[in-house]
Amino acid sequence: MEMYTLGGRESTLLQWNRYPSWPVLVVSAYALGTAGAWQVEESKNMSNNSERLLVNVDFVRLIQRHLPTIKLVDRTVTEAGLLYDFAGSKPDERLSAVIAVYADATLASAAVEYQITRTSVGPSHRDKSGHHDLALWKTEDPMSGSLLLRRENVVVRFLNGIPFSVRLNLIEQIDQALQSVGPDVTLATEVHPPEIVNVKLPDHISRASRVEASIEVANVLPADALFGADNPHVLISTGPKPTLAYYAPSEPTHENIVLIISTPGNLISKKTIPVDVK
Amino acid sequence: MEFGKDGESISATGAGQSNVPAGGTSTVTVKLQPGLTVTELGFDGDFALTEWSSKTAIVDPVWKQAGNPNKPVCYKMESAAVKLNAKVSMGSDVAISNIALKSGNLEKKVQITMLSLAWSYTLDGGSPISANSTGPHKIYQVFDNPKESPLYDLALDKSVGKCSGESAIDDIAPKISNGIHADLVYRPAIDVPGSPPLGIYSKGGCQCINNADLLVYLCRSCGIDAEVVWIWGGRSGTEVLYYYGSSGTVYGSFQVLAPKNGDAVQDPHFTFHAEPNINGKIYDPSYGNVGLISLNETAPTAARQTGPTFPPASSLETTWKCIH
Repeated sequence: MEMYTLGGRESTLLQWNRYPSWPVLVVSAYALGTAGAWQVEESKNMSNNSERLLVNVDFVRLIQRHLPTIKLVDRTVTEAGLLYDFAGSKPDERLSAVIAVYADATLASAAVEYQITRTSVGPSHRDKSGHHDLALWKTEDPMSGSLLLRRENVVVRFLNGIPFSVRLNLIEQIDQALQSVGPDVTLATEVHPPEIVNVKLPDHISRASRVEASIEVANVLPADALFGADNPHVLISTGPKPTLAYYAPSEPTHENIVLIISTPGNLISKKTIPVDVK
Repeated sequence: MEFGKDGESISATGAGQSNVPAGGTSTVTVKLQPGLTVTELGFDGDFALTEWSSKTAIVDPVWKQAGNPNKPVCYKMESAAVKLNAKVSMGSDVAISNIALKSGNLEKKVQITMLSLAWSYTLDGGSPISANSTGPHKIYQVFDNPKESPLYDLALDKSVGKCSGESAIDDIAPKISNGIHADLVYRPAIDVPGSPPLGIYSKGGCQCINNADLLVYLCRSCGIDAEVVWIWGGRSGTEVLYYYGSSGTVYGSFQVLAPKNGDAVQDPHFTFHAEPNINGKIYDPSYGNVGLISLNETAPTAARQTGPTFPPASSLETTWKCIH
């Protein structure tokens, strides 16, 4: 056993408790003194100085590292995360995947539960622990079915495309990659997701009109930010001065625009903007 | 249909010389301006369109003699508001705008019309002279003022393009719904994210709520109100009651008797289903059916529940297991 000093008293390293993700050091200190015997126990994540949250995932490189024949053909920011479409030279060599890096694991867990509730059939397999969640929807068609993985604060979902067995193997490799520091993954002790600070839309918007507003952001360079909206009446232009165009419906309404902002590394956050169409 | 514009005059001037010798004949050389050609055309009084593939607005001119952009336009069916903005060449370019309908109108049908225009003109009130033809111009004729904006060309291809010739909602809605069923594979385990839902088409298939959202969006794009109805099993409208199958896997909140369809097995169990309500009728684009689905099985004491959102306030699991 390794000798260890805690608070000036002699202590003993008792065990390494290896979770599916990073090793957690559990130490116990025994002391004898006039106050009698007492014991404390501390847990500490030992992965790279406690850097256990992911802040950046280079998803394209991660996918192409394992499937080098497919290329990115489209990327869309959606309410569920960034939807990537890959395609190879053969017609059936396609892959659609959604990835979202959340500010913390709680948000990621909530996103998983929401996705399972929102799917019209129950998963055929689920393996869940504190750091990890894997849900599979296997179908009779080996090309179909979907897979959902959470590792800490990251959620990855594969829609249909290449054979299910290949996607299952791929998601296991992605899970491994998300647990190790490497060129495709960045870890940190704190996550500061990009923020939509302000969108100056008018208080009242005339029906059937088109209004524009600049999008002010924080924690990401405006030119680097990616945007999406959970509202069909919005178009967003990206660049150094990102702009939201709202196409007001032809009838009076009160609706919410859920704007989604992401870094190129798939770290996302959302902002809800109410609009009043007169 | 006939288009025309009063108050505009197109004139040509002739220039020549005459020198007549005695007993001879005179030859007059008249230099006429070249004939009129329509070189560009735009439409007015139409609904603004956005191209789905580029997410850019479709602007005039939508037709050109050279380098034709060949873009579509959109009007309400039976519209008499069609106006043309032409650029004509007659030596030099001249813009002639607001060429209105003089007679006729668009048919009272939801359809895609390919309109060819035969142009003619008069000089100083003379007889009509034929000019060139333009088109065919793609015109979407929608049921009513579109309820979605931006209005995407793909949404009209998949709505107007699927119910050509119809003019009543009860005839239009099933054809748009069947179009979704024909174009997309039903995959109840695959939720395709994104708004508007047109991105589903590039994925090839999706689950019921995606199909339902898509049908609502397509109907609204061509001016027809629609809304999603969620269906689930529970003891009240505020509760969904899930149950397990014999394998221990959560099957869902109900079972329906239905043939195999896409990825859905025969007689599947669902956590929920979704079908749009259009003009008081329920359509199921996932199965290509009309009418609210009948539940063959729910957990004991539970029954079919419907609502505008899902999940309801309370989500419970029962220990009861079905035999399947």
